[in-house]
Amino acid sequence: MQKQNMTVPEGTRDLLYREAELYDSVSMNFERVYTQMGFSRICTPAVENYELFKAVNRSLMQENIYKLTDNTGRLLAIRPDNTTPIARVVATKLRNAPLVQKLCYNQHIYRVNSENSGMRNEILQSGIELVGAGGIKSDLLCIMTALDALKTIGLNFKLEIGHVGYFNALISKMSLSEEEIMDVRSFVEAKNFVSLNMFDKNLQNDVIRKLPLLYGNEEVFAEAETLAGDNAEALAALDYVRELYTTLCGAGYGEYIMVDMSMVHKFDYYTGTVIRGYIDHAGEPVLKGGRYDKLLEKFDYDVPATGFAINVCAVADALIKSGKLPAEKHSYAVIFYDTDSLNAAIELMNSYRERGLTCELSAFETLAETEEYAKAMNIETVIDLTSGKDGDKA
Amino acid sequence: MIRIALTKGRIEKKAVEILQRAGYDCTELEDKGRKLVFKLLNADIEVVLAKAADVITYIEHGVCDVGIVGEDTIMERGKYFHELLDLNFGKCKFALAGIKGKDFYEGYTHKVIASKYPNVTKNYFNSKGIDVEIVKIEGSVELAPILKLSDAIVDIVETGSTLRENGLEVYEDVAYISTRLIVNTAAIKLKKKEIDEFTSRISAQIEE
Repeated sequence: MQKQNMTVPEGTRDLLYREAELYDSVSMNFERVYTQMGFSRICTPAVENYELFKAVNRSLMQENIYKLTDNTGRLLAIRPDNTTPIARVVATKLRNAPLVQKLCYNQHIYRVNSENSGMRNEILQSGIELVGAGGIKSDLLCIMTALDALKTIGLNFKLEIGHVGYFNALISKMSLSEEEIMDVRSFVEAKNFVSLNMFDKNLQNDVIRKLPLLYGNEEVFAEAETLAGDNAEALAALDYVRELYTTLCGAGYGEYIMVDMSMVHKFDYYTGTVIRGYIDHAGEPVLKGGRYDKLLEKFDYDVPATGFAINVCAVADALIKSGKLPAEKHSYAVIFYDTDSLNAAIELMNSYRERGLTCELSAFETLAETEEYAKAMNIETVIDLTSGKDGDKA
Repeated sequence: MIRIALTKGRIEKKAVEILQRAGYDCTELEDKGRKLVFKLLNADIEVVLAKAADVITYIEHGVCDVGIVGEDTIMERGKYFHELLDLNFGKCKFALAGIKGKDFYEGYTHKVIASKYPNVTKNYFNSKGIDVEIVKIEGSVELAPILKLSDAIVDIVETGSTLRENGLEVYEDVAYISTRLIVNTAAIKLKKKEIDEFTSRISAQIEE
């Protein structure tokens, strides 16, 4: 085979041994938090109709989606996002199911990133969707689930809370064109003060310049209030975040939470509270989520929803960088047997397994090969049940 | 600890001056030898020297927290970071230039543009809704229109003397460039205090 066909496509990777185990343990820890808090598992297909994603998410770019065709020539997409398919399932198969629906998932998303950017095109996401509740309690539930999930990682972390209503209310008062709003939105999201200043030269608008500075802790609320002035909608969004913040502080989460009133996610389906999570040793937010009350409406099912996704790959990378790989596992013993001693070998192996020890049956024909294998795999004990009568021992 | 990625060369020189004025001890940076990582001796700050495009890579991947890099590289290469300050030095511009006296927009033939900055060029003409063919050139781009490889070039212009000496002129300005201070998206939150202190000390030393 040609060498170039023996490598993996750009942005994907093979996982082996402890690294593969790390991905499993990270996502299983998250899943345990979700299921213990009453979330049920959901799996959706890796391929969906392309139009599904384009219809509900304008900010997902065509060039970032892997596309293929089905047997009738219709365009399919390899899932670039988990929330949209889950919304589809809730709006169709679960339409008559009782609300609230609390769903959790561990599955990959696929995005085409530019070449040599070092970014992952295959990302394992672990997350929840909470459909059918719109009040502050559902936001609290979502945030507390996120906090508890982040806690299982074992690295220093922060979760920040924002509200897209604050930005939207302020920007709608500025009589800007849709194109200008898109620009400001991306500058604010990128905290690009330089471009905002330049944009602001003709506009002379204090609000635009100060918006991206509204991140931190309690001190943010006073500044954000001044900036909002008499904009009732913006003040309402701010009050909502303050209530979440105070409640979470009261519940003992104070040291983990921050506020960013300028947070506007790239995906434009968010309508209310938005959250982002950071951990040490990860150069990007590892958790993203928020409220998307208008998304299910696109599937003719008008119910509010909220949720988040954690990038398991980024978490695993951070754990590796911090030197926290799971301990190397070795089998306790390998048993060498022959036809006569097979039953005794199985019995012995099972007795070890019952004690919670890993025990292997030898896959080799000779004791010498078995011993060599044990040495290579760091297995301390080799048990020979053949009593040497085959002459293998020599 | 915060780690700063600093663009080697001209930007480095000017940035070190600003760091010194802001009260940081740059002794190690003045006597570099072949080292690549330096400590600011009176602060918990490490500095690495890198090529401009690599500064952005290091910031995007979060292995460095703060970067000092030219807007030209940011426009060509960058996306995922926060752009906090215009350091107001290394000022120049991207311009569309070609043979003197020619009208670039004249005629109906498909225009060919030579540039070291294909993305900047593509975005500029996309924003104008004009189709062009872009040829990536590594060295002296000014040669391309002279050799009739292209109708014009998009390149960095400081004084414009190279253009003049080769019978070229600026047709129009594409973008204003200066040196910027950028920050990793996670570091700005996780290391808020340290980064706030650093940027406010730097920002006080920016020359108008």
